[in-house]
Amino acid sequence: MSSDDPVIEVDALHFSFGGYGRRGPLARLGRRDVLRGVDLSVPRGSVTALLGRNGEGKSTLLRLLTGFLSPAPGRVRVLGLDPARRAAAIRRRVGYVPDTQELPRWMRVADWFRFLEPFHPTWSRDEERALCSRLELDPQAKVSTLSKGQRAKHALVAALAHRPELLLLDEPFSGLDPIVRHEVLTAVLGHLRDEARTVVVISHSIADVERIADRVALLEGGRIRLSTDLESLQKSAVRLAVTLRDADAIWAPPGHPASERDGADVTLTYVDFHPAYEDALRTDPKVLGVARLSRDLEDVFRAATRIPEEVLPCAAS
Amino acid sequence: MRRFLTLVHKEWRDTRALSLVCALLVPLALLAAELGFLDWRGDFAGAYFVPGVIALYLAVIASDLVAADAATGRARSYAMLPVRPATLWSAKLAFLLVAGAAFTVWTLAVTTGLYAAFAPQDAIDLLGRELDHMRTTPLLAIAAVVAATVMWSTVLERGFAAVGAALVTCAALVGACMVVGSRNAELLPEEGVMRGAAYILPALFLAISCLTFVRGPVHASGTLRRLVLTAACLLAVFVPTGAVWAAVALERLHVEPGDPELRVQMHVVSSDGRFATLIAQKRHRDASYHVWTLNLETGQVVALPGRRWNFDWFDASWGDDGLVRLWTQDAGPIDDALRHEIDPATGRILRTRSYAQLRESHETPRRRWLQRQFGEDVDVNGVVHVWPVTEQGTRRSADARVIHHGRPNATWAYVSPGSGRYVSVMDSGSQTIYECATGMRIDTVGASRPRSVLHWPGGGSDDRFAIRYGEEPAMALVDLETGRETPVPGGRADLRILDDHRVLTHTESGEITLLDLTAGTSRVLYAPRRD
Repeated sequence: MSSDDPVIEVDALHFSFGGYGRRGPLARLGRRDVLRGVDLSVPRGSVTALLGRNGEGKSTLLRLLTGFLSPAPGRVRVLGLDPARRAAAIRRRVGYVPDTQELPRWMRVADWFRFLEPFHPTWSRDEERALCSRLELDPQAKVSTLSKGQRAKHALVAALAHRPELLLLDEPFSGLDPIVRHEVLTAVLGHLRDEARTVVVISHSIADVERIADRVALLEGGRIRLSTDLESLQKSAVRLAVTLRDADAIWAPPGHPASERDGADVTLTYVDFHPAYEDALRTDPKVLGVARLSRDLEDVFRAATRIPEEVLPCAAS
Repeated sequence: MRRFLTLVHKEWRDTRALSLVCALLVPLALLAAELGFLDWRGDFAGAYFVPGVIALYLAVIASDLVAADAATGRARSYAMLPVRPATLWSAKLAFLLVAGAAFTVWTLAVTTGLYAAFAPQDAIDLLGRELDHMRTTPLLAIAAVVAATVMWSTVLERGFAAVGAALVTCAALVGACMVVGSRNAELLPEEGVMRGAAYILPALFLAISCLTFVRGPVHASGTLRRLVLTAACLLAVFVPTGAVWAAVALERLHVEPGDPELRVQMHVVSSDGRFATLIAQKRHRDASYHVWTLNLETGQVVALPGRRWNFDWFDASWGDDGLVRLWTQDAGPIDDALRHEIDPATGRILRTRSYAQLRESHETPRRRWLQRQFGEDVDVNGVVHVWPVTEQGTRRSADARVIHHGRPNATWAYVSPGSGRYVSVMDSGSQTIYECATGMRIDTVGASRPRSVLHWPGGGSDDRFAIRYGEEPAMALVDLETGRETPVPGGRADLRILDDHRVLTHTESGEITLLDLTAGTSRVLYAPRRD
């Protein structure tokens, strides 16, 4: 695997929960299709935010990447390896912070690290100590007594202490107060600063995504609807406030924006904005006025779920 | 290896508190039981307490081996480790084995230690004998239950349910054996097969557990999936078990004359010397008997078709009417004797008569059993006579002429009493022989109640020779006039003396030979196939 190859390659990935066998009369019994042909490419050294509504399969996708689950069908390569066959080898090189993690009640924070250490040849106690110190995590604390924030820190230290090539974060900031969130974010950013490592993070916080991610991928309807770098998205996404002359007029905007109309007031969100659209609006006789709004990524992503897929920036872009 | 040991150590830490509590409870429970009601007898502790405590501990540990991780969600944390699921499962099993061995050693040490301190020597000896027996059947039973618990712990993901399901599974397997065996002992697998199954079944349970774990180490299963898995496991256990069982049973049920597995137990010659009745049994097992007739002139064997007999004691004779009379008796609580009159040409049972304490009995549970076994052939209501043994029998043990062979370990022998003469060689003196005109009754001294055993000597009226059953040579004819012994060659299992100084012998393998004592010749009449 060369340094230019993507760290993660996913082609036409499908996955369903339930069902009994891949074929046969019971195959569809109780089956729930989650992923319906996911294509995704994550370049080395990037920080990719995986966005999407609850239940869209973001966590499932991460589990597939780590060999937790087996795809059927589809092609997945992580660090050049097939997770279905080389899950153990991948996990040695990947740090994974799950959304929730249950540990034996008898364990202390350091016990879990000592338990993990033999499984990761690259485990660094110096890194472990440094992370614990930075995150103010007491190694002697019982894991059963940790708060939610401390648990997140604990999971993060466990994922980072073996210096993984790829870090997968499944909503690591969820439910954290601003101070802990800041500490965790700082730790992740520190990890990224040290070496050019690849991160895939699931988050519902657009602010956090804007802070750490350089790429975004939107999972919707079992597919990646949008996959692009954040800078391009910020350039191509425009929000316009349009005022119509007649509140009851039938009117269609140019291009394929997501629109929200309240009488004569229409808010248009373009993901693939072109200046010609704005010119067309200003010369439209039904339009009384056009004004640019501040760009809000949250609105952009919400709009991306509503506009036709063919106008969205794809992974190749 | 370091990773594996780490996983095993994790299992130990998960169960350390429980294991230590169980270990502490062992001496306390034993002391309480012995001081309370066992009174340091040794037998109960060795036979039940030690195996029971070990089984209980292992079942508790095994029930949570997988279920606890699944129920608490910790399975997902462990599944993220960079090891294969099979390694995780193997570590759990390795811990179970190590913990089981350690707990067994501890329990044995505690039990023997406490007995050494408080029990009398004979109780210690008894305990030792019982513990010695534990190495076989109880340990296999424990292994089966524990392995089944591991399997259900993986499938059901509920600890308590796993123990219950394991007990039900094992009970179903044993119960099926018992039910089938009670209907027809022939269908029960041989002891070797049963022992093999006792080794294979735990392996099967564990293999199912491993497969289930490897295929789904992460998620706690839904109800529907658990139901499907449960059904699949039941099929995986019972279908191959039943298939092997059926194959073994079918093979065993297929019996024909000349079968090398048949072991001839007895033969009886007809009064005209032309036929012999053979009673045979499959080798190496306590199963049904098969009855055949043999033409001594031609060597032709006629089977009594479709007949399998279950009895503890049997004898056969030929009647003047040319029918075979088969005498049978079970050692069970219903110890009435049965006399079956069988047509040797067709194998049909023409009449069956029942005797209780040598008296006719029409209304016994045996009758219903007979009706089940023999159907329309049964005629227990036919006119029968009462044997007058009890009234007219004469105790003969005191005046029986004892023949000394110089072999004090000989048990007993007799000559066919055409003249009503019996000779017995008594070794232990624990039996009393009664004689009557048509039979002989033997009571075993010391039995809780007299157990009648009919003996119907068949064929021959010559009382010159006695048959001696010894160790080496296995059998000999004793000339009662001269006391000279004639060894019967070839390790014969039994013989009958015919009227004309000919001797019909059979080996356990079924070979039947006619010896002519006068001419000194022998002729093989029947030999089984050599597969």
